[in-house]
Amino acid sequence: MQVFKTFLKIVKKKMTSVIIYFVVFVGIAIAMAKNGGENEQKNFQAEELNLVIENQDEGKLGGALVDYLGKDNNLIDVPKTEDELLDKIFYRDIDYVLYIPADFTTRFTDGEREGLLTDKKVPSSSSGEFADNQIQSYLKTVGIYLDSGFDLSDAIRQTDEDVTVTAKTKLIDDTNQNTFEPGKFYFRYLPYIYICMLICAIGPVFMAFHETDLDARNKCSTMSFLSRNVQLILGSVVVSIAIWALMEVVGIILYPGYMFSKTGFWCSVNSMMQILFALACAYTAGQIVKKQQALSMISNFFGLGLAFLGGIFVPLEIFSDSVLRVAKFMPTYWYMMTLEGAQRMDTAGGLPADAVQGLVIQSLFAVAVLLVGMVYNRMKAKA
Amino acid sequence: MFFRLFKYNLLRSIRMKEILFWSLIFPIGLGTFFQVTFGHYMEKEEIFTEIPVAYVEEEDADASFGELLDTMEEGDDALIAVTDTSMDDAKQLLEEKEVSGIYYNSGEEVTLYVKEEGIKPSILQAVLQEYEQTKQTITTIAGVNPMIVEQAVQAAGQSVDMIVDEKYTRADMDQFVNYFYALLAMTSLYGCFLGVNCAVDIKADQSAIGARRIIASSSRFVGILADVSASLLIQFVCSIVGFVYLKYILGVRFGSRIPQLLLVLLIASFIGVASGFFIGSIGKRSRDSKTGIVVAFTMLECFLSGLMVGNMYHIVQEHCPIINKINPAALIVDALYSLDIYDDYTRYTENLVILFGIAVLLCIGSFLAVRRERYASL
Amino acid sequence: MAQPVVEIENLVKRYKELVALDHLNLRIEEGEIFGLLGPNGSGKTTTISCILALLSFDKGSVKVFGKEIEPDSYDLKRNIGVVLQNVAVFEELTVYENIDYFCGLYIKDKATRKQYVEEAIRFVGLEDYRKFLPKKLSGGLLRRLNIACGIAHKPKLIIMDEPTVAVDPQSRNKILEGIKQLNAQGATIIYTSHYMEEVEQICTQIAIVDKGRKIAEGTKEELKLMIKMGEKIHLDVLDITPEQIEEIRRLEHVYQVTYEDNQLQISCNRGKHNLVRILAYMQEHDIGFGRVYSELPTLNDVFLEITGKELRD
Repeated sequence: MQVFKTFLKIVKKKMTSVIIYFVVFVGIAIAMAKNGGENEQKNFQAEELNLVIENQDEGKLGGALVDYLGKDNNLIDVPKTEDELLDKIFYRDIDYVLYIPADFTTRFTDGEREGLLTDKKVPSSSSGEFADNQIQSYLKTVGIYLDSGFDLSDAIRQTDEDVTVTAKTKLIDDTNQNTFEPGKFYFRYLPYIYICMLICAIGPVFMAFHETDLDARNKCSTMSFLSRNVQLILGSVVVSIAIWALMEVVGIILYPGYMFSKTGFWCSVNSMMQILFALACAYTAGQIVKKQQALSMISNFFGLGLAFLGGIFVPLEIFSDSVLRVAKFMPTYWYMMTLEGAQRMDTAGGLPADAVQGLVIQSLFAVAVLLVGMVYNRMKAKA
Repeated sequence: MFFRLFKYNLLRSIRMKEILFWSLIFPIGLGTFFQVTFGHYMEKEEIFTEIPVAYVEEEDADASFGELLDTMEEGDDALIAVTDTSMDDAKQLLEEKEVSGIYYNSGEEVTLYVKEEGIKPSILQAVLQEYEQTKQTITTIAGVNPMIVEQAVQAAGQSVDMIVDEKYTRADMDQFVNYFYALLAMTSLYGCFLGVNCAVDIKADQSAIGARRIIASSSRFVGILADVSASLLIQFVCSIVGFVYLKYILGVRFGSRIPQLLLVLLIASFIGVASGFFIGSIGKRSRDSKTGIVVAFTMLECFLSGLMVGNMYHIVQEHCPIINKINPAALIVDALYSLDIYDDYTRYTENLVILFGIAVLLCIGSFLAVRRERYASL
Repeated sequence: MAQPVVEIENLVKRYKELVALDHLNLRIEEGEIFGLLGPNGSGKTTTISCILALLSFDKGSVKVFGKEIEPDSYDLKRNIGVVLQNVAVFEELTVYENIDYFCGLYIKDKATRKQYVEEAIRFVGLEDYRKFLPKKLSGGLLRRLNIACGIAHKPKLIIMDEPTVAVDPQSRNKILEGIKQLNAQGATIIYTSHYMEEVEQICTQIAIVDKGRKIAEGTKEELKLMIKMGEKIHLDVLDITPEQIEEIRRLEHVYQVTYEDNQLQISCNRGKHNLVRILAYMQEHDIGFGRVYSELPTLNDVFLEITGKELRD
């Protein structure tokens, strides 16, 4: 078991960065579990706009408009500084800023309509368009009443009554309702951390074992090729499973209910597939790279790249069709498919077919990457 | 002396092909991933384009809604694009996301069918609501004064621009550009690799080369200065290559103040090299272990500045703003951001000054650590 | 007496529990090739590191050219050249560039440096390898490059810490010749090794160290005079009885006899006709023998006699 012992010794020396990744990840998972909810939903339910309204109107109409907009939207206090306002628009905390001037009511009742109000919004954005639409529609109705001989108070009262009429809208398929589930959130980010951890921890072992001199010495030794490789495989699997189990334990501590559900079980299976893929990556990286520093760079590059293209860091919903085609070449994409599939478990009873497919494809990816590493190793041996 | 050492360090860094390769692949590869993933997000989701909608009208239905849709479709700034079709086809279109919703006019009422929540379905709903509302309004007016109904209907059909859009920044407020800011920050902070090497190569207890250099009759300070400057230059060039690729090949919108932006990259590269140098200078751990520490730390900085989750900077700002004032990656991101968004340079300058200050502190710290150092063991 | 080049007084260095240097005293005079001989772990490299102000030490003083050496004693360091045990060259720089780099840490004038670098390359015989990267060089050539990097700036004091470890015989001879040549050009040389043959071959003054202490010092002749062994006689003997061995031991000047693997080894005091007397005994008792040869004591014998153990572990 000499090779196996050496394997663990090398891994032990690389633990510092693994521990840093672990601590940071768990810290973030805890922080996110508390306040990630709003974050996740923001991309999908934009119909409640965040409005800032600066109403200086001396008449009634401005106030009426504010009340109307406030019913279906969030009104946000006017930020203290212009910079803060800009920041909040940039980060979409504010969708729209409306300025109502002091003489608004006077001018409106005098029959003036064009250019009475000013706004700030994300240039040519849909949310801006939506807000414009709401304001214009309300004021137009008030205008019609005024023009028809109503006085301002009556016009506003009538309008407020009219706007309670609602359009009949039906949501055909509501599987897309995104409820925030911290356990799912936890699993979602695991692939990134697995790839970083394993390339950092296991990559160097393979790098060391394939360093020319050591490799030659190993090959000359009495230990058989098979025995040596079996021990190497054993070592990497033990380390991978240890890391996987560690993350499972953290998951159980943070979200016990979720983890012990059927969904949690399949999420765990899913994440095990993913760590095997990460292991294959670590093996191949260890074959190809010669310097430890390059290994760090690779782990970040692949970790981030796979996380982005697979829809881990940004939701798959924003991908265009052509990107989705590219994403299908990422095992992380299939990880997400299975993860999403596992959430639908309880209604359907068993694991949905596309989730099973995701598991299979992930394992195929792991095998493919492993083969690349082995072929490279062979080619190098012959060269 | 300085220039010769400088030259040799450059030569060595350039010949470390593997490191150089990955330093360059990082911004280029990830930048491409980013661009592919969400480079067109704004055009797809946020930038307003006509909303495609299907219209299904049963026979004998009231044609007024159909007419309204026809008028809304006209003009350059049309709100919607309507496809008249049957219900089955409409459902198919909705399933394939070719349309955002279906207006179904049964004759008695109009119903909107949508598949998901979101801004576009909301606008479609608003259109229908406005129609129902106006119908209500006309009815009310008809009840009070039938004489002017005609006039009211006409008024309802007119569109008036009551709101003036105020231009408040030159930037186009593309939120996703934040990922690219963070990527540039990360690229520059990768100088930490070179920084660790600088430190290890001057420490006798870390490398044989360090020992040989320390026993030479030239000042340690000059040697360090030459190495750090050369590393800075290399890193700066890498960052520029990354930037040029992002801006000119991928077409990421970084604004137009290029010289000021390059200054950010320069200082960012400086702090990258300085962090690596600092970690490399303290303690007896091996080169690889120190690299691992500094990289993991850099990734944390970048995470907090929004490399993985785009609005992380903002979340930190809400909950613990002090972190954004001392996190180099966040300072870089904010410097790039404020350069793009604001006209004046106050916040940009503030960020750069803090960055530069941190970098200088790191340098002083590391220099004190290696200055006149004698080792307890080698 | 002229000022010594290196003067070490009562030097003590501890690594936690382990005492690496135990009140070590050394005095190295100008023009010497000073050999520091001792087994692995005897404190040779530690001594060197203290001379170079790399290591902190617990007690005592180290003076080089008459001055206490400090990490920033650049004036002293200018005149020191070091060839360390581990090869210390930049992987990414060629042979020429490496030598130029390290020479440049001492010599600022460009023309002089160029000349020195060329001389160093010729000196170690790497003329054909100027543009090679270190990883393309064989072990011996790499050692030669390592040496060139240490001595290119023509220092007055050259410290060589085991420069011939893992070097092929051809390169080793080249290196040893070179050291003599450098010495002839006026450099004082400190040479550490655990190969006694090398030390014997080139050193003019030798200190033997063990466990951080100097146990003997002198020229090789002086060192050999310190011990009682005068010569060692080897005979290939096929058949001999223990009684006969005992009788040989009682012969005049003989003080130790061993018989192993048909090899009879007889250690004798300094005296005349030792070999003749032994051969006469063999003939007298009709003991057949093959090859016979006699050896003068080596430094290993010196070490063995003083410490009771072999120099090589």
